[in-house]
Amino acid sequence: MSPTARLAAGGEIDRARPLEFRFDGRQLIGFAGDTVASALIANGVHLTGRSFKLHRPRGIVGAGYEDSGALVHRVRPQPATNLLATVLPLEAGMELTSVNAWPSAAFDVGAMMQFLSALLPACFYYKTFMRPGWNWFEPAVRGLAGLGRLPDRDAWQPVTESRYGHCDALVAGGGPAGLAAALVAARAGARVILVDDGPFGGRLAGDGTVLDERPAARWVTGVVAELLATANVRMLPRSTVWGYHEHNYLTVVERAPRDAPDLDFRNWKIRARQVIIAAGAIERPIAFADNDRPGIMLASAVRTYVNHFAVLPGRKAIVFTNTDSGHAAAHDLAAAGASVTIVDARTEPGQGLLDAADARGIACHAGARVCKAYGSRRVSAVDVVGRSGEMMRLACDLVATSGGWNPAIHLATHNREARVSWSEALGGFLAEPVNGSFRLAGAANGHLGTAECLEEGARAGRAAVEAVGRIAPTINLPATRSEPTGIGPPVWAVAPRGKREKVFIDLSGDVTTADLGLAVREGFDSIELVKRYTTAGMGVDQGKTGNVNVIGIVGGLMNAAPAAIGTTTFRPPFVPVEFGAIAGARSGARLYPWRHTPLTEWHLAHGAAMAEAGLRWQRPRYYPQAGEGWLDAATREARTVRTSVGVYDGTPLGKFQLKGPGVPALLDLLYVNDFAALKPGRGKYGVMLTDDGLILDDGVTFRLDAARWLLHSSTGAADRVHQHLETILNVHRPDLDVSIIPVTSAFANATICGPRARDVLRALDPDFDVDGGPFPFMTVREGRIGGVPARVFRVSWTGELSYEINTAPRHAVAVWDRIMAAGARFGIAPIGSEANHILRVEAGYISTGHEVDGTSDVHDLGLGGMVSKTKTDFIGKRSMELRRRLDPVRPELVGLLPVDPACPVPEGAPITPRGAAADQEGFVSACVTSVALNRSIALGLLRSGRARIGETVHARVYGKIIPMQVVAPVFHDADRSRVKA
Amino acid sequence: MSAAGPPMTARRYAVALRRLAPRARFEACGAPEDLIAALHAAGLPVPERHNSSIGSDGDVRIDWLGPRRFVISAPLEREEAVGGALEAVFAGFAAADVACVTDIVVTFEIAGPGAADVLAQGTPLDVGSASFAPASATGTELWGVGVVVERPIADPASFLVTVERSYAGYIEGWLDTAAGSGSDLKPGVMLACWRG
Repeated sequence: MSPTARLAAGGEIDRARPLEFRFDGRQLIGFAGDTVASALIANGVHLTGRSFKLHRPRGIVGAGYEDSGALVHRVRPQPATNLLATVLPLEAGMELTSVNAWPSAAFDVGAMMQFLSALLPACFYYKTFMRPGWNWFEPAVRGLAGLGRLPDRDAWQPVTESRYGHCDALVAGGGPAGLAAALVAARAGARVILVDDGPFGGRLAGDGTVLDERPAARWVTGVVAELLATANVRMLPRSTVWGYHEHNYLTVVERAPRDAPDLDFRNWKIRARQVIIAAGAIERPIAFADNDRPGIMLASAVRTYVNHFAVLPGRKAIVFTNTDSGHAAAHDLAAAGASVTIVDARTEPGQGLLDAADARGIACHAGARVCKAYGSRRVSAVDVVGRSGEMMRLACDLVATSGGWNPAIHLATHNREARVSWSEALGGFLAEPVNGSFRLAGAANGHLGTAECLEEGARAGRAAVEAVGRIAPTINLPATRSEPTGIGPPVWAVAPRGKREKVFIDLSGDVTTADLGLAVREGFDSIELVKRYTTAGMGVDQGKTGNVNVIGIVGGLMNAAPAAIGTTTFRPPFVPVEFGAIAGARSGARLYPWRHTPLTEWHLAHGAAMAEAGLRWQRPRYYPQAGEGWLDAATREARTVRTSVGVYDGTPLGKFQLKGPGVPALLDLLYVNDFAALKPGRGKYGVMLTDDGLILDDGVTFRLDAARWLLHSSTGAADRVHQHLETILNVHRPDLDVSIIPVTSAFANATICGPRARDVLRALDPDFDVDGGPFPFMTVREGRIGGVPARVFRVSWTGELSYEINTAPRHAVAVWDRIMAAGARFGIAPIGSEANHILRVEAGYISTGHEVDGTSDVHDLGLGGMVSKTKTDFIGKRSMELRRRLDPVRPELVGLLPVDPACPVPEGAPITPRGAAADQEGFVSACVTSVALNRSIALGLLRSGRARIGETVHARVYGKIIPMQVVAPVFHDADRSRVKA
Repeated sequence: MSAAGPPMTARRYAVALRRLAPRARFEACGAPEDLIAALHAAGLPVPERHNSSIGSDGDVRIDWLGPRRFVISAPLEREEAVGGALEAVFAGFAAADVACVTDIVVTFEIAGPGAADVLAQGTPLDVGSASFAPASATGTELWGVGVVVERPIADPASFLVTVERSYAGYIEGWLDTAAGSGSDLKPGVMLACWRG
């Protein structure tokens, strides 16, 4: 059975493919090619939901993204909510419900809000919920707001892709102007991307335009076919340019890409050399009392439903207009069988229009205005005030309004590279590019006639291809017939006859003309403030239909022209875009680029718990044995190092190979201490500062031979240090002749540490002497270990004898296995970063991210003795000295022993005077359970800390006060005899 | 995911992804005139311009990746010979340096008509044949990671992506995902309607 409002013929639907669906429990039928909105109208359903604030009955207003709120909730096939019915394609078996209504749109309990409307003026919640506090009311208010409800489970997870694109010319809009522009650019050989919401053709697809004496659709079909066959053109139908950003960077959402059947969305990030905005124009309504009744629609939408979807939205229609295009809608309705009356606000619409209406049997009231609508779930009548003030009540089931056309300039203003100006002739705003990288064409540029659109589109295409250095061809444009495009003086709204009448100016947010008046009376004299105070333009349509009306009305209230009021700021996205479409496949393992060392598989195979150790490197945190928690494992590993030997994966440590005669000068500029005199084969610990005189990083730099040096950075600071080095060489000291090669991943690093480390190294069969005499602390040896080329550094970050064995990653696992085998008789243990942390705190070594927190300098951390007394300068010197002179009372590194030896102190805990709730005098930077002392120990930064050794200070943690004794910040191997053994 | 349809067995794009066998690789850094002189001294050709390469996969290939950066690669079995020759030549330059970085990187080959579509999901680089002609080689970003992308002369329909070893697993996974492997064929509401 055919739906009641479906026309017997015509339209672009596939009548051979009926589709059954349900809405609010009713079984309905549509056709392939329908949107949900067209199918609902075809079934006589105009009430689609309830309004945002007042729960008033609402229906379908538009036929595209300009619709102000025909939202539906999809129960199946893919549960999702707040979907715009006017752009949601119908699918067989769909089950839909209305939003913001319970139990249904027809019988909504929330409708009682209408009786409270007097208490809910603009900004009522800012004024009302101030005492005792907003948070008291927030849950209830949020519960009432929000329109649809997210599905509890099985929410639709679209399959999406995000990709980049490049082109010579991007054309936004595939109507007459866009098609002409794309055709010129394509024939010029330019790389073209043509984007359109629909299937191309724009209004030509459904408004009966004739080109070359044939239906315009035939011209559209020919052009589209040519463009599809052109290799340098990419056609993106069902796609929307949703953002136009700086430097011709555009974001486009492509729905159901033709070339990828498994994709729901593809988000394009396109860099275009030239952009042509041919996005058309959006019809604006004329507001009047109770103009939100279902069945009151834009005239352009009515034409689309009649001509494209073969649906008659009403059998007794009123067309309230001040435009010629409104008359065209009336003729389309009449041709489809409706009884039509035109109410034209213009006193002289033109004899030609009047004659044409008369010939069609359409009554036309010139100089009249609709002032009020009646009906509840659907409009049933309107009051019309005639030219002489006489009042008429006309029964109807459809009101089509046409108050003029607003060029879709939104995209043009996204990147702030267009001047916006008011057009008196159009009664709307136009955008003018301030540079040559983009241009507007067609209705988007205020030209409403088909011939103008075609010509301007072709002109824009020519200009674009010439701007990219190509020769533009001349194309033959189709011949057009003259068409009336007149627009009368703007009629933003018809004034209500009483205070109780509501004239809705923004249906999305239930904003009325009274709200605008209130905002202006209360002093909000900027359109941006009016917008925020009333929420006009902040609803689901983002003001696409109502914005210019709002500006016009505010101008009237302030006795200012719209040009003086100006527009609000248009921002991306131009249409709603699913977050998933933007994210693409970036989730799960594709979310974050973790880095792995060549030993990762070994670690995982041996049960390591992995964690980030800085700069996205994954390192073992600990290796739990049966029944061990992380603290048990870390303590066991640390104890093994203190008593015998352990090994850890130090691969992520940053490494930079330096060469050149300028290296000594570079290092002396970089570090606070002296490096120029370092001998080949030896290393030195250094601290580098930022320009601000604060610690940037620390590490050991070795002089490998006469020419080459190897600079180590901490893991997390490697990129920062590299950038710092390059900045010095390229900006500050380009005279220094130095080459830098990052070699972090060129070496796998296995560090053996503990009193038996030398025994293990010796067992690996090195071809060099490993004894302390010939291979002392802070030196490097290059040779072979069991035949494998290796570079071994004698440094320590554990407070024990340590050797860092660096080999090519291809040998990493073999060398590691040999270390484990050689150390087996000593009970060697692989250790993770937690044990490392215990060991370095015991030894009093500083760590980036703990003591080096971006606010400390070398003196603060007890390293002032390193500062060169001979160098005249190094980076950060003056800033550090100046800061210390201005405020000599600084936080200083100290050791802390909780009075309760079993009491751990959370890292970061503030230290306050006697634990009071007062300004802090320091903080705990690290706290571990020491394996050397069998008690809790900590490091911290304490104001004037070194002078306070012996005092008791207090950490304040969640109201708990932890007393701690201040001690020297070294708990193990204070004389470094074990390290230097 | 809900309402999953049958697994998609074919890739979304017609590509073949391959992790290539390692090649000997040397990173050279220094003043451009020193680098060019050093390459000449080593008997190696020099690319004509920045961001291009010369040579072949089967032999020595030189990529000019930046004003102060060349990469010399060669079959792995020639690592010692090529490395030794480069070391000897660069020893004669005070500030130009070379380092063996064979183990630092992993190279993937993306071949087939869909190769550009896969790459375009991760890199803002214009990899179209007009902008990125055969023999082009440049450093860029791929899914947030620094990589070198090359278009070999021998097979202009394919791309080589060289990434630091620590990121190799991440990039390999992304290439597979971007190619369409493993995604579910889930006919969405639009698919059923628009595609008929």
